Amino acid sequence: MIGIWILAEHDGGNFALCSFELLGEARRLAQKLAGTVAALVLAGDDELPIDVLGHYGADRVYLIDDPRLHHYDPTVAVASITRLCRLHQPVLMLFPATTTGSDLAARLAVSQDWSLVPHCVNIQIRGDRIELVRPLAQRGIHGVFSASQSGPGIVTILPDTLGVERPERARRTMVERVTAVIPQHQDIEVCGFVAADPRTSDLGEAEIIVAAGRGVGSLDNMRLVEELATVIGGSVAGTRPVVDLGWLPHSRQVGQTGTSVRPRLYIACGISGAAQHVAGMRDAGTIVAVNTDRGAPIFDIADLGIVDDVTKVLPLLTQCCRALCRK
Amino acid sequence: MRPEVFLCVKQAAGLTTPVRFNSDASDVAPECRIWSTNDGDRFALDAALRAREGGVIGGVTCVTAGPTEADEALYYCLAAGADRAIRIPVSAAALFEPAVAGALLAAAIRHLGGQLVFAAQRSSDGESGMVPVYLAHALGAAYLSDVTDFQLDGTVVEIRRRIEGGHRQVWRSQLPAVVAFDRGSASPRYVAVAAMALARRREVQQLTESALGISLSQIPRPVRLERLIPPRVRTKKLPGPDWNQSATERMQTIVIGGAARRASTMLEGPREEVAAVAADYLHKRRLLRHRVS
Repeated sequence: MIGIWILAEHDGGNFALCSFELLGEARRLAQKLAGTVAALVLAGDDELPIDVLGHYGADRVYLIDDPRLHHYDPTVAVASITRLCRLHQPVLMLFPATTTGSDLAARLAVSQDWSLVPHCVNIQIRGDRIELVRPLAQRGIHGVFSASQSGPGIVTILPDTLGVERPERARRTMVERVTAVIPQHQDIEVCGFVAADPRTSDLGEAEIIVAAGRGVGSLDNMRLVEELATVIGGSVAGTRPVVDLGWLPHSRQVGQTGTSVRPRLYIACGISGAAQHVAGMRDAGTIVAVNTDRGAPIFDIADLGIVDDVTKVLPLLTQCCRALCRK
Repeated sequence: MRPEVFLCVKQAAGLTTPVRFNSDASDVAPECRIWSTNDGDRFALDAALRAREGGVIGGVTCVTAGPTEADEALYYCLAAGADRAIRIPVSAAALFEPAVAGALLAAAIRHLGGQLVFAAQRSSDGESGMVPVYLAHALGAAYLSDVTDFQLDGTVVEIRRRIEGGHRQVWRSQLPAVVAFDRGSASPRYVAVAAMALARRREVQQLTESALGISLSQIPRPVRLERLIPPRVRTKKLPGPDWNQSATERMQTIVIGGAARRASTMLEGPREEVAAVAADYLHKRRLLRHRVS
């Protein structure tokens, strides 16, 4: 049976959306090739909703369980996946083009002489051949590649390019727990993890941003914004007036004279939506705005609007989010 | 003895508009390429120069592979403060495969006895991010990817690497190591025109394939380029603001780049209820991230 595998990434509690995107694509290919879909999970004592992978198309889940994989350990991950691949011989492996996915894909491909096409945008089946399309340089040129080595072909796919398919809640998956392979010689020692500080981490990298506008009212109230950001794992940012008032440094300013951002979630607290600010955050995935003025322009581009005083509603929103994050 | 850093650089190819292909459509026409020093290399160079200034490393040698045009990337490094420059003369087309570029650079660094290699994580033209990993594999060195901070203590390399969400992971390894730099937060240093002019007078050492004992034809290529797909022809019609709007509204549309209005859900009413609905909205869309420990 032709095996198509994906790497399911997670944050220790939930699977990343890109994992479901990959499962959808793997399902589509498996139907064409009459194959099966398996998901690889590198878990380090994490409690994960494994069943969800079945809902999105995984026939089987290989759960590589070892405390050393709580944070990505390249040596253990490569050795464990290599052994699994030799045992089951998948034809194609889809990895998310995240830092972990890209690093693991590259290490696997180079160490095992397997083919890798990074940042693939289209996978086509032509007879018994798999053709992989990826953008080359700039200006919209694409290259069509095919593997010239034996062994599984590895493909990395940028998150948010495929979209997530509708889940089938009735679909079940088989979970196989796999013991991690710990190589005797490890050339890299994983010795620490530094969690992003919402006040100082790079805004360009942030997936969640909680931004403050003048509507926050005072420097004291900035702690409400920081608290929400901490609870939901986001970064704190602000508008130019907030920076001018000295409530945040210029490095935290979003807008035309600050940083342009593209997070998955942007919560605008007490921001009216001046064009100069919107220019720096309009490409955010989901925009939530809190403002007392129902006619504020920010509501024109928001997905969810809350018409209320930000200082009153923010503590309650933080409380509700905290409860949901613990679930 | 402090190790020398071997910095791998690339003269990357940008493209003109419109792009033309050669007669058999297998490659871009040479006149449509614009060469410039790979942006990521500037960050790696800056990290190397900072390490040398801090007395951590002995010197900085820049290595590239490519045609004569690739010397420009080396001149940039020399102008910024690198100690010496080496080029492996090959055609630009030969370097299309990351496996080939990695094998050539590794051969040169092995020939020169390098233990510590710096490179950009990816180039602005190929963007595969594969050259450093091929390089590390060929040298039998530890591969440290997406690096934002680098420290060296004797023969122990400790790095911080970027991961999703702005977090950092700390890795440690022994030399030999290949350190692939992410852009990081530091700005690369400015190189004055006069310094570039002086750098162009300096010698670029050449190491040929035969001197390195390597043959391009013997390097395995794990993937094969079947064909190129030319860019999609785009309509010349330019979108503009709605002329029924007032001048202020039109100006606003232009400034925000025509941000599309979204179908907003508005929440008003009792605060506790509104907060609960909003949190549930975020939770259902998987926008709430668990706190990372």
